[in-house]
Amino acid sequence: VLAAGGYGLATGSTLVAAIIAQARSKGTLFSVLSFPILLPLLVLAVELTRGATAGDPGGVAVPVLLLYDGAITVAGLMLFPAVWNP
Amino acid sequence: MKTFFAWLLWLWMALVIVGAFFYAPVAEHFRVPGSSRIVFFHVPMAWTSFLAFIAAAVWSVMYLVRRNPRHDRAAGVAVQLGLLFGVLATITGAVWAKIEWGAWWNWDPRQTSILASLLFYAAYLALRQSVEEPEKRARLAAAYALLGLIVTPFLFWIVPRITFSLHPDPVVNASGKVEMDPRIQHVLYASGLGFAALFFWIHNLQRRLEALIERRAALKE
Repeated sequence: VLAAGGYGLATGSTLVAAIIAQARSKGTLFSVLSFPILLPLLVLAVELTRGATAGDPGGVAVPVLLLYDGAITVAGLMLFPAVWNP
Repeated sequence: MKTFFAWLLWLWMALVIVGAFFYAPVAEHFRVPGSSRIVFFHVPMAWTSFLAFIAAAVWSVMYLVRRNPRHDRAAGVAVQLGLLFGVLATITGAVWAKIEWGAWWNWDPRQTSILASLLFYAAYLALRQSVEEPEKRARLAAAYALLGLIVTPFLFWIVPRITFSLHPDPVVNASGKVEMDPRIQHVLYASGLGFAALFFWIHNLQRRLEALIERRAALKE
């Protein structure tokens, strides 16, 4: 859970960083743009961590977390060229 | 022809309203049975908001492939309207929640997830505001809208289902859709169709309006 959550946070933030690197007022924009993308990830990771400390196996939320990570990765790979190259 | 379709749309929506109040029965097991009629307006608004975000993603793909500014404008307008319908769905939902659950806002999974997706598309509009060059703005906005294609279905479909399984709360399933009367379904689907047509009609008007504003700005320079 820790690895998958951390990975998702890193991938999501990187893509958003690539987008905002070309916009002005970068500081505020980063939090505004990345928050909605990272929110579902954080909610899932928090729920799973709470379950794990209580001895709960986690159930369907684990594959969903991995799916979200995978989807963000694929989107990042596909969208990065469009964002970076004019 | 266009006016004809607009009038047909108004007639259709009028029929939906009549159907919602006089044809479809109410859900008797609700605390306030009459409040179940909100389903004919609240649910189609949420559907339309989802449709608008998907449409914005489609126009964004078309922009990235063809690089035609028209597609970028269409995507931006679709997001504006998706936000409008999403906010309407949230407000009507809160009114209904006050009547049926006793509180305007209870952090129900669906409320939380629509709030997050509205935040996402508000961020999309903030991104559009903060890039000056039209070409760069279109490119970055299109990429962000496509990211929304992952986030939105996740929030609309997956989160309400899995958080439900994590918190088995009977209040979440209060709409009782399983035993939906066929007459309720007729009006609901008719209303959904009407709202979708309404979206495309307003979208067309707003898109042409923005094109005119851009052309006027270009002429002034």
